[in-house]
Amino acid sequence: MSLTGKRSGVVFACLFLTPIFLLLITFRVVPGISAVWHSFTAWNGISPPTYVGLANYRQLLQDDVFWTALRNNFLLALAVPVWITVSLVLALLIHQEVPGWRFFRAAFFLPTVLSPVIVGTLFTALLRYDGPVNRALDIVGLGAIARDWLGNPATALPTLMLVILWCIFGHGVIVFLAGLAAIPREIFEAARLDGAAGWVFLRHIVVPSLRHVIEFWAVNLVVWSFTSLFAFVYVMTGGGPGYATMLVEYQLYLQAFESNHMGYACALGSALFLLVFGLIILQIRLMAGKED
Amino acid sequence: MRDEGRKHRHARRRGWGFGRPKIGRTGIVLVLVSVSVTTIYPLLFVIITAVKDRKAYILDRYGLPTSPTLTNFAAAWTNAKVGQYVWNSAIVVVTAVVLSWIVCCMAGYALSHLRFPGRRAAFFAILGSMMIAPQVIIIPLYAMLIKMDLLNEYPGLILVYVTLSAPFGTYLLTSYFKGVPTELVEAAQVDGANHAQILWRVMVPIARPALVTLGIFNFLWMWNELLFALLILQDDSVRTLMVGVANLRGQYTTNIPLLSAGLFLAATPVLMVFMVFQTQLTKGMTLGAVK
Repeated sequence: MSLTGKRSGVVFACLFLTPIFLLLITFRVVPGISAVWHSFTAWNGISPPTYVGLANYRQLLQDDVFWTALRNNFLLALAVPVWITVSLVLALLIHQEVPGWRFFRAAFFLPTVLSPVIVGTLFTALLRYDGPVNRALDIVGLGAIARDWLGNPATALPTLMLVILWCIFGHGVIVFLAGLAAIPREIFEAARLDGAAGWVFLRHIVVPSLRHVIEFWAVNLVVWSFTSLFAFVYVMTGGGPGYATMLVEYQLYLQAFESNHMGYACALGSALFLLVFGLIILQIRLMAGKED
Repeated sequence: MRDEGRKHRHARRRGWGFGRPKIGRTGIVLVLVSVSVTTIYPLLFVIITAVKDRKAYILDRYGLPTSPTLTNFAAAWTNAKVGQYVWNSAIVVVTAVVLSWIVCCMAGYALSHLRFPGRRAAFFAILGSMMIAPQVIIIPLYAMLIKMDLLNEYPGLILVYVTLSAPFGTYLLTSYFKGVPTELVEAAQVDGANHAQILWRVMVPIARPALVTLGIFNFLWMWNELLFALLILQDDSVRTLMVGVANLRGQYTTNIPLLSAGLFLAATPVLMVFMVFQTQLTKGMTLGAVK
């Protein structure tokens, strides 16, 4: 078989696609199937798993911690519109190209490159009872509301949300700026001549022109809020106080690696998979849509 | 010249405005400045704190350091083993970034320029693997790596990172390679080059911008990743930087200057990447959103 002939395309295609498929099958597909299978077993990770049918799922439905974690996850997902609005408004402000706009863009983007580990450690120190945040509140005369922000069950989750917002809003700004750059200026010009401003401008001009970008970013954020916050919780709260900041992915980690309930943790994982499955398909379609 | 500048500024000012009548340009700058303060101050706090000794920090937590010292950096680097963790992270991340380039280049080339049955299906199978969220598979993956003797071994984490980076990398390079005219490939074939040679000598040089973007993107998330690093490299001798930092936090809760020095050292590589490659980074992070 020739290496340069007409049929060489097929030969090289096999050659070039073997590594990626080998990796994806070994380290992603097989463990995925294995997770579903083990969700029907009792398994401590050491002795062989034993089949228990739907027992893990029945336990899941009666597990208060799971429902709390799920509720927290949904509260985070509900905050997504707020995250989007913040990024969108800031992107619009930067898009005005006021003096120093490049600097602002860079400043907003800065936190997004930092690891959640670093951000989490940093904010744990800043938000302590005797930390700079409370001290700043004291200075501006709000000393009365000073508290241990992450140690108080009532404020822990909202505080965690704010830290996450701090960490990612810049990414949203960059995404929306790219979207805005693709819109012809005439559209905004016409809107201005019609006297559209503020909310009307945002609602009727900006949002429709950026529909695709906003959709893309919203789906990303929701998937992200269900699957990528482990490090924040691990570093900042450990799911506490109590279960105030418990998330499904963190409960999965605790069940599997702290309590050795591997079978039950696999059921948690499968539940998480079902939760985000549809969203990820949507995400892939939005990504691949431009390929066709 | 001057007149032109003024005209330009004038054109900008009367440009299209979001809420212009209400906020005005000064208002906009004020909003942007205050948000910038919230993103920059925490990092400034880290740097200022890191150069104070413990006593100076307790006496004056927020002021500028009167006698800056580098002892915290030295202590973090050696006593808290940040130096060793940096090395471990570097081995894992650099290898994984390079392997990801190779794997994704091959796949991207096959999916964009080679003719074979099932090409579309292969493309969607690769993207489709993203449906299996990483958190879902950690348990079987962990058990599997133990069986393969890859727990506490660099290759264990490296292979997982390459796998996780593969769908996005392939997507990025496939779309980039598609923009390269087929005539180039055909001309090279006429000259007697096979597809491996074409990929290496024609495609890779052309795709350099996309490869830089992919490399930076991979470097950042791999350097910052916690969950898989925590589970796969547990031994202190192979521990990555982020796992090390997460541990420091528990160990040095009362020594904030030392902790700050550790944080600063841990963030330095990504901050450098941020400063040098901002444009490419921005491009990578908006990929898939626009067009």
